[in-house]
Amino acid sequence: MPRGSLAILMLVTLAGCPGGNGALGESCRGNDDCAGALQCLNSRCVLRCARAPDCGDGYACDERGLCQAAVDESGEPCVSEVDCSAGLACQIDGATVDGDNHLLASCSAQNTSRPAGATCSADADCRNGTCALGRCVDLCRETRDCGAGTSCVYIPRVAAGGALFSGCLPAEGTLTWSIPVTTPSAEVLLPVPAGALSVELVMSVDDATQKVGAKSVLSPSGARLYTVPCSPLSPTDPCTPTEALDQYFGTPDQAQTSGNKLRHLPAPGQSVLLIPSAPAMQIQPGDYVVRVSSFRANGVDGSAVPRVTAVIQLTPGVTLDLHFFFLDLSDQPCAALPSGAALDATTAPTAAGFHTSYLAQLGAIFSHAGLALGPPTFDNITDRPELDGLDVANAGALFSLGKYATGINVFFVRSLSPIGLQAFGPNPGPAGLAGTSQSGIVIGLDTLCYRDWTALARLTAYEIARYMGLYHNVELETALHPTWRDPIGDSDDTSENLLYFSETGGTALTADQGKLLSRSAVLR
Amino acid sequence: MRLGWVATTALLCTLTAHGQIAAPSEHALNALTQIDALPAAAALTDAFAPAPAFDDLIQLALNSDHAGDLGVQLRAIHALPTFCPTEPTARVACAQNTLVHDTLIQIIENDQLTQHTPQDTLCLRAAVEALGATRSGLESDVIELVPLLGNGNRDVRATVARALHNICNIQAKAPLQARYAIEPILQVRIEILSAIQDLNQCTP
Repeated sequence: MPRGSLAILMLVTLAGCPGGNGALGESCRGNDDCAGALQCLNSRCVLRCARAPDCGDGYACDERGLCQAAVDESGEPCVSEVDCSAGLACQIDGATVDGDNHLLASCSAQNTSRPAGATCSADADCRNGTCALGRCVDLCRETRDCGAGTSCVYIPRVAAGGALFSGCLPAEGTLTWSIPVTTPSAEVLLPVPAGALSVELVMSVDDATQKVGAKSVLSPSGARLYTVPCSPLSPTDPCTPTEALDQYFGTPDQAQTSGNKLRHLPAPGQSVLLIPSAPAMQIQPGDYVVRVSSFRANGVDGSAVPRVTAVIQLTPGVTLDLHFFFLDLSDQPCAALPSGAALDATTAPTAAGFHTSYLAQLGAIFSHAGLALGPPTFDNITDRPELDGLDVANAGALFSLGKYATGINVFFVRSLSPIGLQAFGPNPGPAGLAGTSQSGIVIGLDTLCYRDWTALARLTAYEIARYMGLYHNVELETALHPTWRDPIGDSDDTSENLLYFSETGGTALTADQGKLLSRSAVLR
Repeated sequence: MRLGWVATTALLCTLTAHGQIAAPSEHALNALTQIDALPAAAALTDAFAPAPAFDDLIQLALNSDHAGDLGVQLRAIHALPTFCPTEPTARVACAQNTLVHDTLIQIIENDQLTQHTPQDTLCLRAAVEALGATRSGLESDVIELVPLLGNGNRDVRATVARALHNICNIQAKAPLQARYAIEPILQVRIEILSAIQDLNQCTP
């Protein structure tokens, strides 16, 4: 072996097997001066890195856990934030893409603004010059380049027509951000990163006499997923109510090319577009193109400017938090405790029927879908007497009091009007958002005059599942209209299903229904 | 679970002022047990076909001894005004002396014969609410409901105030004002005040 090769081999061996015994904080001249779990950085033995931010600005963390100083200078091409020297940020170069259709970037001076992960509305808001999905995002090559709790994923760049770049996003949980809209009808680009489980757009207008919602949705590949159903009240092109419902229910078989693949209806004040409507539909990374609009009652364009919020669920959830709110239930004979005390936030946690029948049954039902109930919370609402006996036309005022973004806000009122309604809530609801006119479900406790707590648990679970994006497995009219049913591949027509529309239904959930539930942003 | 419900509902075959009825079909039962929606007249007509839905609903609504299912009865009561026609010349009009109106009045007056259980009270409230939904404008309906403003149950009083609001006859204003002066429950006071404010726009 030539002498030169031997020298190189000895150096590699020493570097690969640090033989020094320098302790944490002791001075060093190289990694081999430090103990095995340490490295020499800035002449001190320090812990080896797991991720680049452990090393500080201008360093990468290599696969051995050693910090490597970045060498790229201003103007030089880069892929990751860790490629650029200290004081520089790896910033996207406009809309130019490489051979893989990924955006090119180069090192540029950092801005003096917000760090990675902070909220933003424009690139200039961010120190690293990249604002995506409402937050400042570091560019990356691999997850090791990103801070703790974040992952390196493909993200579409709205300003570059949906071309992808690799950026650091939270590894789990939800992303929520606002999308600015300035006209009553506008095309919104909804950037969806790789790995997203579900995506929702929550659209609202201040004028509750106008409807708001999506008019059309295109996938990143340009496939039409949704067109707003026709209106029987249209002054120019009316259709029959049956035709409108046929279009709403779309094609249960997701493999078919025609018809709506997404289920959605504009609604007064606020509506939610949830993607997907069924687990068989895959989320594509890229820009979904959504035409958002306000509408008059007859379906023509409205004048109200929508507010739009996007929520993306990144990882499947397993815990369902229930937050119970009690309106004034004093003197409600059917909800009173055996002692005569009223059910409220103080008495409910230990009330036998509520605890052993209602909560236990709710837990059992959702365990079918692999979900566990988190510790419930209890709140009283004592200063809104006009909501004690709720007319569902005024449900938005109640749901706006739903202060928990994660989980489901469950409101107990004395009675629901019209009498005969047992529960009410949005389908789907604004998962992950608190304080909107749809942020909850409501249960009328006069139902306890003729049903028990176990039955109340079933109808509560049904309403929660609808909030989370499941639909009736069949409709009352399915015998006449076979397509009027849910878009879930493995659900059946039986009354044993939890999503059976009648209170005579059961508590079963299919595997696909469980999959869709696990994608909801209400879970943690 | 379904068989149990059908069996329970079979008990609805109680003799009433209008005779005996068969148990509703499974389809009809489904229409009257929806959790978060109440059926429109067209859906009920389909659900009860080939039997005339309206006649069966009358019987279900009049299930005065609650021998059947109260949940079904409540929805049947609610359904009655949905058969009110938009055409004034139609067979069933929602003015005085029609079957919808008479049935609702009968349920309200039957309350005097009951033991005022929570179930009786709920049935009464459903009928009061449905009478309001007819938006009859009739003074006789005001006269029928005003005594219930003094009912001992706060939910009944709130329902009556809302019904008087919907019936929309100015004759209700004075009794509502009188009740407002002594009503201790804020929930009811709010309903009364809302009715009083809007009644000024109603015809005498």
